[in-house]
Amino acid sequence: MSALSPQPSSKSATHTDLQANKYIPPWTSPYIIGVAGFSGSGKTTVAQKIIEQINEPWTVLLSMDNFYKPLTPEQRELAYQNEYDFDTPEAYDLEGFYNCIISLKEGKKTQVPVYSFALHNRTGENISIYGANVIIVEGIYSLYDPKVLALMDTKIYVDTDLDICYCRRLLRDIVERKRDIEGIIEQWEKFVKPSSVASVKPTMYNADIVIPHGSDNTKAIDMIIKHIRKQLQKKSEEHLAHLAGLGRVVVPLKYDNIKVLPKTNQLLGMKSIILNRETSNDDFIFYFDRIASTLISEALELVHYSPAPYDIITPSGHRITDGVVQAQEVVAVNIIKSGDCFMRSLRKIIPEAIVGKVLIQSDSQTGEPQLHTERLPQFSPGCKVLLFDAQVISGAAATMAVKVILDHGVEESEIVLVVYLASETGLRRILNAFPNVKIVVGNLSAVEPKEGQDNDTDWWMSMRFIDARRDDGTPIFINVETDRYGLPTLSLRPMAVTLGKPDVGSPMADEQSRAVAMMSKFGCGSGRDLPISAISGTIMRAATVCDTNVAMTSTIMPNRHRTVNRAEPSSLAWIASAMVLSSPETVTAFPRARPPIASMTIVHG
Amino acid sequence: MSQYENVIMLPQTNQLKCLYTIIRDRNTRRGDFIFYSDRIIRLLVEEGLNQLPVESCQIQTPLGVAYDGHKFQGKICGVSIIRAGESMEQGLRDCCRSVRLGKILIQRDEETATPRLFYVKLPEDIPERYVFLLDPLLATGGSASMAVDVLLQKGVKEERILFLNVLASPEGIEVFKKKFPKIKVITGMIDQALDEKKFVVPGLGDFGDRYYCI
Repeated sequence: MSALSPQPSSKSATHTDLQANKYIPPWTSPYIIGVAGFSGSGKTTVAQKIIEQINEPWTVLLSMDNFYKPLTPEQRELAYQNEYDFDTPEAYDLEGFYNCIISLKEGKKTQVPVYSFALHNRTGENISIYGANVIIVEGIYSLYDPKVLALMDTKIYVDTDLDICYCRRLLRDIVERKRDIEGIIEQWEKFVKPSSVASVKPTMYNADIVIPHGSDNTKAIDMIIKHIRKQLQKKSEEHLAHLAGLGRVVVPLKYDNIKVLPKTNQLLGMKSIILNRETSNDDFIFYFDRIASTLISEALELVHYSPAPYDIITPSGHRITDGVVQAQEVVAVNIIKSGDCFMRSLRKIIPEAIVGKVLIQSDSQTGEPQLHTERLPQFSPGCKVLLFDAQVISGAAATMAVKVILDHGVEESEIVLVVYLASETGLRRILNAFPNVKIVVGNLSAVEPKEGQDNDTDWWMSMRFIDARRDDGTPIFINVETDRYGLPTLSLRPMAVTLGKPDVGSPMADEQSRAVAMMSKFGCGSGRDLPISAISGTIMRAATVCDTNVAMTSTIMPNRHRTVNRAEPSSLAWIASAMVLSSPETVTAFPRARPPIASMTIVHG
Repeated sequence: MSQYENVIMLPQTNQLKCLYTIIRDRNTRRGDFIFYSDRIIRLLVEEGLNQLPVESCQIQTPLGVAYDGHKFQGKICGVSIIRAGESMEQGLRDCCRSVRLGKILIQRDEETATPRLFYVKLPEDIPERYVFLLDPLLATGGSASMAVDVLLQKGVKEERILFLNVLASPEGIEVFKKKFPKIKVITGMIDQALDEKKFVVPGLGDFGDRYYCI
């Protein structure tokens, strides 16, 4: 039974009513895990192991180091002489830390300051976190403040013997931070050790779980991960049940906010071309572009226009007093990938339009929509946002996208969803949650989504743009570039691909060997020719069409093993390794994985 | 859409009015003039194509389901009146990629103010086709009537001619409808009147000049 299709409910109608008109995305109330322990106890390693095992791209690791108080010049001087106490709770901006956690807990877009140890000050830059489903907070005092403790779902204390911590810290500071040994010893004796014993150790009693021997304790870590997985699954089930509730027939679909294109002869003919399996890809794209233009023109009718504030003089000198001007900026947002199908037409109608992107994929097993990445511009006040998706089947992805845009400060009534093919259930779900959103539809189908079809991005239409492209087995050339939003874009063209051995010792070696392992599952052994179509269902999945090129903006791994560009460095590494595997000489340009930012790393699965 | 039979005017939406505000403004530079006229032309072409019949057919979707669909019936070609009419060819090609195009050159004799036919080049099989006659301005209707005469002589059926123009005068439409009642005229906007020099008022200037020269 597919998770999103309407299910007979044993709940009373009023209960459904209450639930049906609100959408709560998974990033409202993210799962927060606190990890504390002495300096050098292995908290970071434990946190990373958890992230690796959870294997969800919307996991964020937040280090308390970002919340050191900025130092005054005098304090800074002390710090350079190892005379400043960084290990007392007073060294941290606990209020700022709490505000950050509570903002994350409420699902808001949150700015985290970046702290520089070289300057002993905040750099002035911020890292923004949005849409995180799991947040791991790591720091010696992460279990210190009772207000913060109240917000955490799981509290972990890593209990490692202080002597071992001392050894690790010595080693790390000498080797990695190139500091002199006297300074380290002095600091340890004077500040680190007393604070650890007096202030850090007692926070152990705030923990739900204490891990003895730190990161070496694989059994304890395994148990924690199992627990977290169970909690996340529960959360996912609640989200799905909620989405299903939104789609249930509570009230008949109101058409006030829905504009369906009239069934003109041209649209009837073009629909048949789009639906016909015999249609070539060239024709498919050409006619889709034509329909897209009509849809965009229709959507632009919803933009605010006002009387021209001045008279117009025609070339023959006649005065026109009733001119009309557009009174609102139009910003486009695409749901990757099929929303990108509208871009060519949009560029012809509004060449200068600002375009934002969101990548929302449905989990291939549960059908739960998941926000993988959002690259949205600063929306100017009062602008109109056109949200594009080629089709709305369950409406889950579009509902989530609307929520993301609302979270970025856009008025609900200024959002226009432009979609070619939509089901009534999908539109009902969106309008139940957001009754003021406007929708422009090319074709509205009254047919309820069938089992296995309610996965918005997996339907046949998006397949037409890429996956079906080279079914003749012609392999495809891969080329990576970053677009102006920093999203990796792969373009593909035919070529011969040979799987190489991973280059041991290179930064990619680990990623490469994982890729080889995965590909061998598909029967593509090392050194053998690999038709891309063989892996098209995995690496090539979430692709997008820009102009005539087939381009790719993210990678999706089968089932839950995903690496997506929310975790940019890692997914770029993945894309890059897929490319390197394809053929090293075809790599014309690929963005290197960014070095981890200061002490905060967005981590991948 | 309009008080005349077989005259189809685009829906007078705010968006369309906004486009006309831009192209009527004498301060609009050529780049913008071209861009926004092209948008109007695109709407005209879509509206014109909608007048063509479709027939039902059955197709198979990629999921293997049979679907009662429609396919376009009949072939079309475009005929532009040189030079301003050529500005509309691309708009037609944007919707029908490899459409055949014919050309007719008609110019107004400066002394007699009557149109004269200079040049005609049309596809051989034009009698079998729907013809999209392209001229952005319908003022007196003199040159367009002459172009239609040429088409009728070549064997095109009157009811298979669609005349697309960006701006029309009431006089021009009157003349045209009296002469060729079966032709479908598709226009973006109908202006107030013609002045003594036979220009459309308030108009948008010389379309060809603004699109190509000034």
